[in-house]
Amino acid sequence: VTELSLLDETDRPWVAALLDLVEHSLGVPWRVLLERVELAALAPASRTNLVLAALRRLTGGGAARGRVARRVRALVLGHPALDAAARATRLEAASAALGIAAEDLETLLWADIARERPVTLPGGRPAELAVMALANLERIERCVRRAHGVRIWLREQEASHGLVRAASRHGVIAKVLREDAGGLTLELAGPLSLFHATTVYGRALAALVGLLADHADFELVIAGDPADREPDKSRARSSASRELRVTPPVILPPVRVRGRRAPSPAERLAHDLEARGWSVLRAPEPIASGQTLLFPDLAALPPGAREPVLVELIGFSTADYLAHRLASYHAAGAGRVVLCVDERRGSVAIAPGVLPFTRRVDPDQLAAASRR
Amino acid sequence: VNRVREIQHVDEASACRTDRDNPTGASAPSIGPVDHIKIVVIFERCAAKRAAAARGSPRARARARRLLARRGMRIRFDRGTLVLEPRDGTHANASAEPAAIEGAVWDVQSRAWRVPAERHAELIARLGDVDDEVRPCRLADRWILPPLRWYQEAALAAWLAADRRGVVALPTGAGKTLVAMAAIARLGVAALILVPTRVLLDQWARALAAAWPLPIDGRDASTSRASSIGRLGDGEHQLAPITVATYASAVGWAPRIGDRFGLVIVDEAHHVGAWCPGEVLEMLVAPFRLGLTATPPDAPRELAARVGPVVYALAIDELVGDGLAAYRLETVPIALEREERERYRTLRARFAGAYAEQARRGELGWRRFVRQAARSARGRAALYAWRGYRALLAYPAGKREALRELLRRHAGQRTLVFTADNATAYAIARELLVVPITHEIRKAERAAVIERFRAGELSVLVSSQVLDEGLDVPDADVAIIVGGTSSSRRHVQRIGRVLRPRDGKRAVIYELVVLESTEADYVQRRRARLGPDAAPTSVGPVARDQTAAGGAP
Repeated sequence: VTELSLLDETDRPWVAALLDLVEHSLGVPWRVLLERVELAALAPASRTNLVLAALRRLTGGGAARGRVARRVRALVLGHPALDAAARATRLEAASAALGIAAEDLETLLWADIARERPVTLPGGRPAELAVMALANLERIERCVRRAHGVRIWLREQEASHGLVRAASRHGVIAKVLREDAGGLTLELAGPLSLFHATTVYGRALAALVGLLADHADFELVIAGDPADREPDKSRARSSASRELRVTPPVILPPVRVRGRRAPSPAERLAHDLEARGWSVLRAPEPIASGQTLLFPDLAALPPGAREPVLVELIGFSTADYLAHRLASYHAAGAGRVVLCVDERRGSVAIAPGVLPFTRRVDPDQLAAASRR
Repeated sequence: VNRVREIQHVDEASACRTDRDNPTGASAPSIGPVDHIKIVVIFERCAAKRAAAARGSPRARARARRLLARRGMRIRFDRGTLVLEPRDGTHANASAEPAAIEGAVWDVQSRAWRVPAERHAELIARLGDVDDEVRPCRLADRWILPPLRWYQEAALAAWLAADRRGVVALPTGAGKTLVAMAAIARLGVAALILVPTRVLLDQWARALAAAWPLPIDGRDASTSRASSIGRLGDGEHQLAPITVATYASAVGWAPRIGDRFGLVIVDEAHHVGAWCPGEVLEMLVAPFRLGLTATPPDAPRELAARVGPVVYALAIDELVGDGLAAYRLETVPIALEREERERYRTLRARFAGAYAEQARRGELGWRRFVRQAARSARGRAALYAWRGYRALLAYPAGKREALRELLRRHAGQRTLVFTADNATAYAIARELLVVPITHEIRKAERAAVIERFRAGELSVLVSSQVLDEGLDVPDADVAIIVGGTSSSRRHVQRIGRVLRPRDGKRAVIYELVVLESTEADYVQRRRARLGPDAAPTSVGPVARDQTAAGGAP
């Protein structure tokens, strides 16, 4: 197990120097900035690249830029404008049509081309720590996206439930083990353990990394081939599989509190069941099955029934995983369990207690499945 | 590699590769790496065994043939390989005779002898009396083909004479597709066409549907999507006796459909062994193979092994005025301005000094130089200088002015402008407000631009690489090469873009060359493939650059 090398306070001076360079390069294309950074050699290229990636992430707005750039190009580009007057006329016409100043149009032409768009800092110069935190997050996420498996140990069981629920929401293949001493381990299958949709899965898995910032005491172990352009790349490649560890203190961006978002399939199902007279408990207490903890999304009591139906929504899955999950519920004494499995994330083996769904779980089908 | 395909195929139903002893699949950090190692070991063993078998004595092979014939064997296709097994259905055994058959490998997992599918014809010829379950279907004769031109007939004849295996090298626009369709019609067997890109997939499928129309459900195949032609790639999974597949899709499909085709055609065949993995062709039983390219590779080892040797080749100049439009190649000498020249010399000297120093230490090679340069301030400065002078040569003031003048001269004519890099393409596009086509522009936008160009709404497209190959660019009359590399392959592809024949057409190709620079040397090198008449024209006082000639950029 090797400690994953992340940015810390000792890196602050060169990060500050790099930000100076960025400030001096405002308005020039990114490719020019990249050349200047390379020439300045403030730190190993892999590190400066991480910080630059963090900066791009910080400025964001890629999709919006793309839309604007495409509109501008469609209006401005055409037959060659071979003299200044023809060029100015074309730009003015586009400017009037788009309501954008003619001088800004040229800047917007390549606003969606990574190396050509001009360097900007819309929110002013960011703090070094904020950039370093994002760079660290980027680094860990890159490793996770190339992992065979990920293990997260958290000291506080209660506080860790949020992370477990988030893993479930993102649909990753997870197993939760409790420790007698009070800790909790979350074992997650890595994208390289899958054959399909590894990019989608890797992104879902990486989304969990940011949540670790909320935990004071944790250990993240990433198993796999983390050849992600670090200086020790050759060493990483020489061992087909090795483990990288991340432990506090680590500079990470604070967890963002998201605003309103569309209800999850579990929330929608709960709402639909309540409309049919079921009594629904959202996010019930986890159930212990030996050392394994199971986290059903809903405990739903049909009208007139005495025993609730435990419902868990599952994203990525395998037949073995589902069978094991059901067996664990039954071993824990849960009689009526329905696993709702998202068909969009892989083929679902039809079995008793397994209900495939796409986008929305049908409450009537759930009721039928629970009776079976 | 076949083993990898096999594991993928077996486990396709389940989304996750799980450990049998740990059915949760939740976390099995050791599983991925162990599988990976296992695959490699099997592959190595296969290769070693194949090599050992190939060395078997003729006597041993003759003995194997006799024994096989006595025992009675059958051959069936299974996941990209041919399985040799007893005709009576009993299990094969590891110590049995097929070990002496060249290339046969004992597969421990399925307990069968396996031979690469591409050796099917050879195997049948060797073994004689075997049950052969591998029989590609035959095609009905309903082709509607235009008459072939003389060189297309000659190419087809050469290919037929070479046991129907080999590569035909004709310039872009000379009608390679027609040669391929004539080959399919002549053989009358099911054919698989492998193409590098989705654009070419569509292009090929349309051309074939027009030549081999089969109404489906009363619809005309040549105009509707319900085509007689199968498509594998770009989200389509339609199989037919004549199927077009992208290289990428063929990797996944070959283990399943490798026994259905008697002929395989590889478009842009110079990619075999790289973009088009050799394993795809290994998994196809098709005994007849036709490669098509405008630019055969210099050392076509993999291509020769999988498809065959180059059986027919013509350079651009041999077809000009006949199969290709006549053209005029004009070199436009560009002189740097005084400031530019000084800057060029400074940057060039800085780079050349560092490069020469490394060469003096006996450390030759561009890659090595780049690796070393990144480690020192001087090296980085040298690399920075290298980029700087290349950017300078890519689009100096002289080229700017010349380009404007040429576009003015050919106003309204369809013109393709080729640049050395994307940055220059964007610079030209910004300056002249013309449309750039690069890989960074989204597919939908690119398609819309090509359509506008076809419709005449746009007269100029500027690109560095995307227009070189694999994109169905409408016929153009003028090409302006603002910058490029020394690659003659790319040069031929670029020139071919304006050579599609049309009545009375005379294409014009301009090459802008900065005098007394490394670019002049590039121009001489990349013209090598154009043909005997394409000797360097007057480009003024060209200074051969020793560093560039020695392999550096």
